[in-house]
Amino acid sequence: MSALIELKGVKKVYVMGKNEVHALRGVDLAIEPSEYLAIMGPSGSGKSTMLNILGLLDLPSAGAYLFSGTDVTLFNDAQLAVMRNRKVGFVFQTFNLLPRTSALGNVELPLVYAGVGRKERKDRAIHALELVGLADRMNHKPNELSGGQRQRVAIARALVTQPDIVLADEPTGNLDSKTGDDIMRLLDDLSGKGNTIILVTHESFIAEHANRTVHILDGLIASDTYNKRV
Amino acid sequence: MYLIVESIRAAFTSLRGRLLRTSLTMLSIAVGVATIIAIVSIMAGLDEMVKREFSRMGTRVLYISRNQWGKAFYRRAPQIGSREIEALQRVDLAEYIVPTRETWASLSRGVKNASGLQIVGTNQDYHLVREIPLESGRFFTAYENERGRNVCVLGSEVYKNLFEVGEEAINEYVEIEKVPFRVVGVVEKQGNFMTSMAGLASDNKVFIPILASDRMFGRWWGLEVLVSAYSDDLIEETEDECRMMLRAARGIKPGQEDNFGINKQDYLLNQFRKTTRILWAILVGIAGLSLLVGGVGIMNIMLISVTERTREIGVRKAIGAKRSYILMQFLIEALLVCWLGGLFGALMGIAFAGIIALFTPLVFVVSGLSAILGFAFTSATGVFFGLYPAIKAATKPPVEALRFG
Ligand SMILES: Nc1ncnc2c1ncn2[C@@H]1O[C@H](COP(=O)(O)OP(=O)(O)O)[C@@H](O)[C@H]1O
Ligand SMILES: [Mg+2]
Repeated sequence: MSALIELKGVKKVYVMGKNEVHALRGVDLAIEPSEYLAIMGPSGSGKSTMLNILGLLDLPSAGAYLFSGTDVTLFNDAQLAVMRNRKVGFVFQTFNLLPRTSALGNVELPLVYAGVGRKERKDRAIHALELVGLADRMNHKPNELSGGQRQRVAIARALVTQPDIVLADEPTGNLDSKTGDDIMRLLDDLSGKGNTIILVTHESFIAEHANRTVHILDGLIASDTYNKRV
Repeated sequence: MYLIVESIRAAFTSLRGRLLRTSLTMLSIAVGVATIIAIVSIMAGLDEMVKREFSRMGTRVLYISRNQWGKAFYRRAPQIGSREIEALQRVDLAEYIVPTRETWASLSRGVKNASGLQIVGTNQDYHLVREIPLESGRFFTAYENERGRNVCVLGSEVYKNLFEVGEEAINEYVEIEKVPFRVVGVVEKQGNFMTSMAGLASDNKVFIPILASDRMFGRWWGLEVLVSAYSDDLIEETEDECRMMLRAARGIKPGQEDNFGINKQDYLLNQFRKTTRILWAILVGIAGLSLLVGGVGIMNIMLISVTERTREIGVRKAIGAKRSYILMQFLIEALLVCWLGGLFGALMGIAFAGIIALFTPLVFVVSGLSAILGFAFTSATGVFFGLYPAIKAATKPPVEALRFG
């Protein structure tokens, strides 16, 4: 069994007063290292919920989540923080950069929490920014950057700790198609370098970039197919 | 340790990023602290001023008169006279025994005159007991006193009314009710507005030998006798001995109450404190109110700021910040704001109290307690309201914090 991460019977129930929303109703999914996976499905089907659980931003209501064979649903807050810091890189649809901090500062932040010293931190952050082609903008604040550039900074931030998996929730959702293409090419590139990437989208032309597509409908996996790389 | 340094750096960045809000928070903290310090300083300054003024009456001096201050007159109490003086002279613990008899009269010198002055007939030891410093000349001597010589010592206001600025007064003559008296000394300016009003300061008084005073004005009024103890500690015992001697001299039986009064300056001080208690209550109320207002201000700004930053907390957690780190960061930020604001406020309050003291007779007193109190309260407010929402945000799963804004 060489699965990097594995969901086993994962359920997620949101309780809102008397209403219960069953966002995930029993999901089993195994992902191997270096896979490039797209999670597809209509709006409200549970894609983000699943990705948030994979990214340890939220915990399942039931079921197990094995990360390198260890069930992380049993972890406490501090252990989860370490996992999020070292093992996972998360890219959001809305970028989620710290507004008053420079691009470099934003990319350095995960390394601050990892306890990396200042010099090494800066070197690694600059390297990550070079990787996304933004080394020349590293002292700009987010509001001085375009949407595409902001998402590049966010990707650099996700990559800087060299995580086991990179998760992206509709990373092109807030970008025009041209910029979106650039971002997708960057992700393809990262995948080519051996990164494990999991991508959420509701657009099939985006999903086509991945080599495996999981379809979700009403909180259940409807199909799981391997694409032919173009 | 490493993370603390990073937190402090992050706090500065973050505070600089929201300069307006930070300044507002600091200002409310500063105002709270400054108000407390200023009010308490002013209150303490007033109290200290009055205490000092009253203590000029002598903290080891007994004022023996026909009545106990603040009490109803004793019925048919005899005047204090030579019989009582004799009795008091047998008090071992007494350092000085100084009889005084006061009247009101006018003084003149050439065309200048001053009326409504208090003429104090007393002996050569009066200035020692009341610790009255002389501006020039000397107090009258025992010899002059025994002979009832027409010599006088002028209060500073009296001198000002009868002489030109800087004019030599010693050995000049002034007339008290048309009788010439030779000036032998001038008293330093003593009182301020308040004590002059209360007639406690010597500025409007003229001191002459008691025999001279009796010769001119008679003995219509009884004496008030000043008895000084050798030290503050001995004042109670001295009082007891005086009481014993006076009761014996007057033949008061055991169980019968005194028909004389033995008074001390602390009675006046306590009286003053009693009458100003309402003022204190009002000022304390104002101080409390200002803290409350400051506290609400801090609370609001902190709540807004942290709620607004729930998303930031979510982002930080998403990329690996532990709960403890988030809390530390917010704690450091809150403390930084509180301390800077508090420091600024303390300086403001002290400066304000200083300025008040400069332009009024109030004594400049900085109360460390008030500084600590104001500081502690505002810091606690800042930290609590800064930290409480941060704790709430930090304990949420990151997704929930990220959903904000
Ligand atoms: N925090 C939440 N509280 C209540 N319901 C939620 C919450 N998050 C998501 N949901 C619901 O769960 C379902 C799945 O949501 P989500 O995973 O965001 O869908 P998707 O990303 O596929 O559009 C939706 O019905 C959504 O309304
Ligand atoms: Mg979604």
